[in-house]
Amino acid sequence: MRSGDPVIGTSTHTVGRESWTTAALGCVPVVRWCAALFQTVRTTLREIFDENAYDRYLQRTREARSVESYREFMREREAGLAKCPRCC
Amino acid sequence: MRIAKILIWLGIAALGALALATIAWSRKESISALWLVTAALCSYALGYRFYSKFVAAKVLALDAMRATPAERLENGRDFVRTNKWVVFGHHFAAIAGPGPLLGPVLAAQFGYLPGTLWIIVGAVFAGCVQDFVILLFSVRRDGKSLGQMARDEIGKTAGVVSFVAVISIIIVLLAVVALVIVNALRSSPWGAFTIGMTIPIALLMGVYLRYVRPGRVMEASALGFLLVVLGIFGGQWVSHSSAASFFTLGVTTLAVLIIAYSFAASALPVWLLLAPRDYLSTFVKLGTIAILVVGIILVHPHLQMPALTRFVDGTGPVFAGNLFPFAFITIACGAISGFHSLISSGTTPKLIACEKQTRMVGYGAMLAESFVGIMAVIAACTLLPGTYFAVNSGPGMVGGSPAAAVATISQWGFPVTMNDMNAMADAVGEKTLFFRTGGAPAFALGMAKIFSDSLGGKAVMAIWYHFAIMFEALFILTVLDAGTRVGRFMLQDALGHIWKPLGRTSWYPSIVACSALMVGAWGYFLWQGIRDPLGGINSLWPLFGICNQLLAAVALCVATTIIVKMGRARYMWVTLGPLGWLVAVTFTASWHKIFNPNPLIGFLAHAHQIAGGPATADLQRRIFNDRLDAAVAGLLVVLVTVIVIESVVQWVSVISGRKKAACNETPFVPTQYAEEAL
Repeated sequence: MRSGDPVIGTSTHTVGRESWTTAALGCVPVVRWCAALFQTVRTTLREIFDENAYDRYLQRTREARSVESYREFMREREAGLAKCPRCC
Repeated sequence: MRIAKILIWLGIAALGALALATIAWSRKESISALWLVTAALCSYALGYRFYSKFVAAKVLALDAMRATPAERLENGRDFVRTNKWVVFGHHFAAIAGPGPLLGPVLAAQFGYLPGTLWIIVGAVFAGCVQDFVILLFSVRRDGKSLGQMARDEIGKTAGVVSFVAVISIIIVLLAVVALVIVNALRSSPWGAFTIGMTIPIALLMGVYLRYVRPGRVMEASALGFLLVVLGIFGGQWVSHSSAASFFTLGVTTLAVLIIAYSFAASALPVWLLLAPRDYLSTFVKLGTIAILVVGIILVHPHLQMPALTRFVDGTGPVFAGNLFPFAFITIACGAISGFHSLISSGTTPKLIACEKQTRMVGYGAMLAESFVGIMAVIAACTLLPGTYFAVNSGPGMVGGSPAAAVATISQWGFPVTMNDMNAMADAVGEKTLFFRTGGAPAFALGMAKIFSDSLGGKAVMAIWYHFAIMFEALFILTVLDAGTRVGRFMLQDALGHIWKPLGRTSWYPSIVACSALMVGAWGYFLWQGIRDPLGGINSLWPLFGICNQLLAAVALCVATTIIVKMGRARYMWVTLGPLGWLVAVTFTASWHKIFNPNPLIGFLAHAHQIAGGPATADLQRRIFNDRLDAAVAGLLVVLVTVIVIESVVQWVSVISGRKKAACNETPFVPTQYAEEAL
């Protein structure tokens, strides 16, 4: 993922899949629109569920997905998660 | 093209006016819920298209060329430029909790009209504006929190007041939502089993996420959701088995278990329980809200509750107090909620890629939340009024027994029979539905009715009811464990100024002590609620509403001060109007809760009334509780008065020219993404 992309929060994996979808289905506007909608919903859910944050962590630290890297990611994120207010 | 646009907007305005007129003037016959949906959607469309655009252009002067903190301070952790739809979803998931579901259900005792109008008008002119302006002002200040902005823009006292207001609101909020869950699970083996199962499921998800498939949160959440659904069916089986008595719990046992659980959740590592539960709750929340919207639109039920009930005079059995001001503090989150200002000045401003997106995220997400509130009004008002009052009234308000409650409620003109209530309880797999105060069971009944009408029929009503209870309880438990933890961090921050080791968030004695303090504080109010013969909600929900709306008043003081300091005093009415309204509402409500001579409303009058009884330890405790509640309401009013006065002094100084109009914005830096912005 290029730093400064307008859609931050997509992993390289997702961007790859998006390109494939667009290429394969791009000729039909409605299908293309649906594919874009699906991608946005998927990215939103990945952001809400911190999957993108973990991907960004892996990119930043150049680590591989593993028990150890996830433990470090959670440790780094612990204070933020614990302080994150949730409305009534 | 231009004429076509004008015609479309005129059509939307006309349709909205027709829908509002229909819900406002229908008295004799029940109306379709679709009128409420139409009125809300048309008002939201007009509010977003015209009012928010006016605020964005004239008041805030949004500048697409200004770099946001997500661009300038990007670090891949907190500050990340993010797609606007993604931020919208993230923000909505954070602001949507049980509040917009429970408040409107409780306020339905006045009829469907007051709640609906307040949710629509309050959101468009107050709640959305608050969320929008606070988000933008935080974006222009490197993502600073509300407390920091209050200190920088108004003064040091304002910073202290907002800290006290936030701590108070968290304590009262946690107590009141814990009370709701206790009332929902009381004597309900099915519910207790299902909710109990969510704890090992969350622990299992924590272990799965950490050791089995690291970071695959959506996968783990889907798995957790499936297990929760199995738990619902398991609960049905348990409720008919010999284990039913083990899960049939009284209010005291439930309160102790919830307090112990929250203490553990606050002290345990975040990955084990808090994070997985948060993910699971969000997963269920987004899915269920979407299903509820679709269900209501498909079924478009008729409302059984009248537009206005006799209880607008303040004699309501759900909570005592007149329509003004109590309807406006009972419904907070669907119309305006001070708590939102914490989120608008928390995570969200650090994700905004372009200033112009604050309109869609801040104003738009609050409109979506308001729509959830409308869904809750519909769910409550589709119940027969007699059933609604039998479920939602405390024993002290309608007589101590089900038979007395039936007689009292029928006498009010809302017919209900023991047979009706027993049949309803049977249909949803409960032993009784009498005196289930707090709003959650009534909402679950309404939701189950709508769901079963659209999918599965009466045969699956019990499953839908317990699904709804599980959905609300999951929300509430997440608020409880995350809220206790947030409160613990705030306490540690504050106590660290007195003795440094107490401020260390990794020092275990401090973790345990501050968790115990936090749990003890809200646990005290919870205990008070479960021992209250009037049902607890009668005292605690108004107190919570007052705290929440006073926090909104603090946020609007900050917003108005910044608008004045920006040199745009001629537009200060945009935030001053909602501020004036909230001050009138909360100060009047506080006055009534403290000094009203009716013991059902005034804390001091209630203390005075029961003081005449035999002097027992229990009586002394109840008198002390009433005085404590009065003191909390009084203290908050005094603190907010200080902040309002301090703000007014600032406004007068700037407007009269005695002080230079300058605010503490981060200096302008041009964005590197000008092409995108244009």
